[in-house]
Amino acid sequence: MIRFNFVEKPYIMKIKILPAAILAVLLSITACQEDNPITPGCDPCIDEGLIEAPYNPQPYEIETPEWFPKPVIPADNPMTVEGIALGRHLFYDPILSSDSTQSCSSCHDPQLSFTDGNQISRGVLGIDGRRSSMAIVNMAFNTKGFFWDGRSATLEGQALLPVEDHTELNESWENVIGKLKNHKDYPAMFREAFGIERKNEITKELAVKAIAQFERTLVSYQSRFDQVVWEQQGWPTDAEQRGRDLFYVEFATNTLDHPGCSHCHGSSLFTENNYFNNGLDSVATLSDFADYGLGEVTGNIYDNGKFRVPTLRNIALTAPYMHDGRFATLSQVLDHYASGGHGVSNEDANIKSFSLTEQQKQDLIAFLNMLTDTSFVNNPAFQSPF
Amino acid sequence: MKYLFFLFPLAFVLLFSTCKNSDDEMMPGNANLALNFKASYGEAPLTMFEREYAYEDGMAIKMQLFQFYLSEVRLLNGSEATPLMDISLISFGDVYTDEDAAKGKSTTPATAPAGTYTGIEFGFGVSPELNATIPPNYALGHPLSENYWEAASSYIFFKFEGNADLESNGDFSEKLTFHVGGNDNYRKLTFDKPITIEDGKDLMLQFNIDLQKILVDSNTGEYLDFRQVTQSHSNSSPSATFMANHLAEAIEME
Ligand code: HEC
Ligand code: HEC
Repeated sequence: MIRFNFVEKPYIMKIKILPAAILAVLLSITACQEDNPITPGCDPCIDEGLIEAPYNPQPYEIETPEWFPKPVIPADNPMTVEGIALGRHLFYDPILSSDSTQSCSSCHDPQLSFTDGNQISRGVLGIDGRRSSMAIVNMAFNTKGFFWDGRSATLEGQALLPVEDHTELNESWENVIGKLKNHKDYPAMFREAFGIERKNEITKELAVKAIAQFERTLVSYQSRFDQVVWEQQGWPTDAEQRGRDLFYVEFATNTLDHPGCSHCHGSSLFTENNYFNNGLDSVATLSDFADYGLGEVTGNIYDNGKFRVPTLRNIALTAPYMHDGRFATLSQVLDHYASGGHGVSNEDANIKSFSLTEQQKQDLIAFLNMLTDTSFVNNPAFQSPF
Repeated sequence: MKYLFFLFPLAFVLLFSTCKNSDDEMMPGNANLALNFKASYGEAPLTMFEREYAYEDGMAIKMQLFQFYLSEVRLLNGSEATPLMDISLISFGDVYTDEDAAKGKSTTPATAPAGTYTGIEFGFGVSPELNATIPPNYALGHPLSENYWEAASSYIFFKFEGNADLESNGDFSEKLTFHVGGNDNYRKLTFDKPITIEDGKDLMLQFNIDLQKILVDSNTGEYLDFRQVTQSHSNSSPSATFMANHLAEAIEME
């Protein structure tokens, strides 16, 4: 029987990013000094592109508990209070879409742990995309690519794509930048965040930097699981304890049931962001998957049908499940795993059938429900600023 | 213009001196040393997914993953040991072709003092000292930031995963997942073989690891019977100990 592990004392680790921020400030100041555009034919008149706003960015430290890895912050995008504020506005602002009806948050709703509750996401044109929206949780701890198939190496790179995707916001960045330049608030916010002096220095690169900064603040570590296991606040119920034993069970002999969830959904993040075929599809050959997933990105046939392991944090809030939203409930997800896949050649060897009584199913669900972090979904700093 | 011409050689000199400086960062009398591992199953190169390997008693296997940690790699000179690297993770999970297999998998190079050595030693697995740490102690991307086994409070020292055909009928539906960890299964291996490291000359030491020798005892012929056992996720199971005990046989230095 596996018992919960306890740590002695919970405490919060602060990551110092001040030096990087100062460096960035210096760099951007020198960069600004160099360019000195003159409005042609308008020598004596006021430069209308000039932004009037202070530039005094405050470095921001991500709070992480000691049972989390250290966040990974790119050197060229240090986090600042002003950058995050701008990113949060952009994330919630339909100005990013062609008809001003959708923002990132349309498909990434904080109440649903930043998913949209739909099987397949639908963009401004009313056209379905091809995959289910993903939770935006603990992004600062992923170094293995974004999206279900890992096609974006960075969060900044990821944020460039939804705007111009016809099945999402369906807008050109050129238009977006035009709208931002003429907006009453955004030029000042860009200056406050990045120290630009003129409106024409607003770029998509700066916009996605800000969005990525906001996304990196979305850290979930205060679920009941964290409280009970790591912070010694309270005890698991019997069902939660049994569910946890099933989730992590390792001392398995051939006769002992072994769901093996922790092989792939391990670590305090409940994913190590690796790519697997978890046995969803019965296909004759590796070329027959409806969605190649990782294989589409790498071009390697053995990667077909592999997808990035999603976190299970807040899993109770993010139905429907899997890259194509095929399962409406966790109960269906568990039935899938218990059935042991289809024996496709690159199906992970850890996908093995196991018996699952109704009681065991409820126990596992009770454990998964422990991962819901209401302080995360209700965090005022994560909600719409509008 | 004259001025420019004058600047050119100066720039050259500067460039040259900076290069020299950066060279000097590598302390005099050192070289980069890496360990390269080629994996096989008996005579056949170990490749993932496609290739079938004949196993004992009419069984056959296909591979999905083979990976292991090396710790505390040290160069030996008689009784003197020079530490080379703390930890390295070698994975053959993306070796699909004979060509990949022939390249092998290497550790990241470490700085080694020039000199002659009588051999090299390393631990197969995660040394007890490092095995007392946990992934949050490391930056993401560090070998020890993953493969941790909470239930056993240990890293998984090595993984062998694949599929078995138990009845010689081409049906590879039996899934094999052998994960071995726990301090009891840590094995220190020593290779007595002269090694010469020359100043500034990169060196790759070549090792071969034969999975067959891990699964089948070369002396007694005893083998892991996949009809009886298809997984080991415990530090104390007989199959884990069986495999750990064969490591010394299975790894040779070229
Ligand atoms: C129409 C719905 C929709 C809109 C609008 C949308 N997304 Fe997404 N988002 C998705 C879907 C679907 C995926 C998964 C797509 C895939 O894997 O191919 C996704 C994936 C992501 C991911 C990857 C998460 C991970 O763990 O890899 C991030 C981050 C993200 N979106 C951020 C944004 C941002 C920022 C915006 C606004 C600029 C945005 N999304 C707009 C539907 C949407
Ligand atoms: C072989 C690795 C592996 C194992 C073992 C595994 N999973 Fe998964 N899991 C994945 C992958 C990969 C996905 C995403 C697959 C996809 O969408 O195509 C996933 C998706 C999920 C999802 C849906 C998440 C979402 O956001 O849509 C849930 C829930 C889940 N797994 C729970 C479990 C549970 C519970 C277990 C144990 C019974 C388990 N998994 C075992 C790899 C694994």
